[in-house]
Amino acid sequence: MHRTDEALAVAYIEEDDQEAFRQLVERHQERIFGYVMGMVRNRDIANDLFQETFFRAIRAMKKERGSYASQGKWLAWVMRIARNAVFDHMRERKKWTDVETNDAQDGSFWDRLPGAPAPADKQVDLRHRIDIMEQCIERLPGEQREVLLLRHETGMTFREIAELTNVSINTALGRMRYALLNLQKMIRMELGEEAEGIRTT
Amino acid sequence: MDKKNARLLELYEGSGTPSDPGSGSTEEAASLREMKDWLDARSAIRSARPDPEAVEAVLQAAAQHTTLSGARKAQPAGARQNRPALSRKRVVRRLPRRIAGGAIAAMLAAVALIGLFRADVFAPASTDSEPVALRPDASVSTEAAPSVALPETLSPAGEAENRAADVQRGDTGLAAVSSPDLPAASGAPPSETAPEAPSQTALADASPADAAGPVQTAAVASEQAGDGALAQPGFVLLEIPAWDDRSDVIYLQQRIQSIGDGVAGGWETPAMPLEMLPVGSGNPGLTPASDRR
Repeated sequence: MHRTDEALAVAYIEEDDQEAFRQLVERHQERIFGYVMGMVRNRDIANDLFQETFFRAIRAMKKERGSYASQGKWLAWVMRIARNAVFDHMRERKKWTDVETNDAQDGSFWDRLPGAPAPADKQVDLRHRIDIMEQCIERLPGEQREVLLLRHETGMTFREIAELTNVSINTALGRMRYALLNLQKMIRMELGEEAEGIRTT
Repeated sequence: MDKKNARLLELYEGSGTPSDPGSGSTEEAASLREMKDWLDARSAIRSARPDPEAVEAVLQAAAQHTTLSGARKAQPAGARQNRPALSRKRVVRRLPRRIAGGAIAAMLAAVALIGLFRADVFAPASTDSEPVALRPDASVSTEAAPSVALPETLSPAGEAENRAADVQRGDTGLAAVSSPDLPAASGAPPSETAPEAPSQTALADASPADAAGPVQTAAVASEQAGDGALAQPGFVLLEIPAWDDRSDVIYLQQRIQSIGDGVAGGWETPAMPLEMLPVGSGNPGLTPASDRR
């Protein structure tokens, strides 16, 4: 029997149903983690922020801090908490960036070497492209990247995204449009440079 | 809504207005669709799952909060949170203090009750300002003083005679009454209250003044009290004359007048200007403020 998010949340709040909460976490962990990961680009930090998001959500649901009003939008509510956690982390990081870190560049030195041999297999080629796309997403302006991640990682509608980010739906759509167009330009540029690098070697 | 935004909305949610088939818009629509396909493929391939440890920590936190909230619900409604129960030792230690506090409170309540009772008993005697209640001849005490019967001035000798006559008759005024319950209820002997034993003629002479008895009662009685009549065990001081006791006031005024007549009027030394008064170093006159040290 499929229970809605709202029913699961109410079961956890009122009946202390652990299984209901487990279902909620399992149902939405990829969305929440994908958004957080896309924003911070560091797996360890993303795991910490994922935990922090749910800790805050638990406290609010148990009325210890904040409150949860059941309006049938549990995911949007949790995404707001996740967004706040990410922004808090970014503010902290901005405060303590005395030393440059390479957190943004995941992977080993060999992974980041330019001019790697082109993969023969199509699937591998697709993965390679997606890796490039990840790097390009990272370079997008923050507002555009946020809308893109919220749409593609969490599956939220543009109206929900607009509510979450406190902008009009036109602004949210405009940011998404620019994000896609900029992403395309950057990928083409990357692929073009890569192809040029292969030709020179 | 902007056409470009509508196109994007249609692409993602299928709810926007159909786009115009213009060349520029078609090119942009293709670009947008291409990127959307890439991103969809990325989402399908790339698994963004948190570490299992992170998920487990979240579930443990949820269980912990459930336990805490369950324990909170089990508490009685009136119990305060984070307050440990009082130990038996602490209760025993506080017991003497509680007993002492209760005893003090009970004593205070008893004292207050006694005070109220006594106030009820003595209230009529203390609040009654009518001299009639204190005099044997109460009927005359409230009457206005017959000024025609009063002599113009009373000599000290006549005053003493009047006093003696009053004491002899037991008409000592408002402040002192004889108490029959007391052992010395017979009253003080006249020899004790009057310094000189008045003669019959003196008493007879004093009779006109005595007719104005109510006028003289208060002052005479008070004087008698001062002289020792009230010190006798047979007398009890019951009341102080009130301000509306006209007869007493009139008598006091006359007495002051008589004393004033007996004393030479005026100052003992002739009047002297203020500047002539001796000050500090002995030089007469006022010292300016600037010269003062």
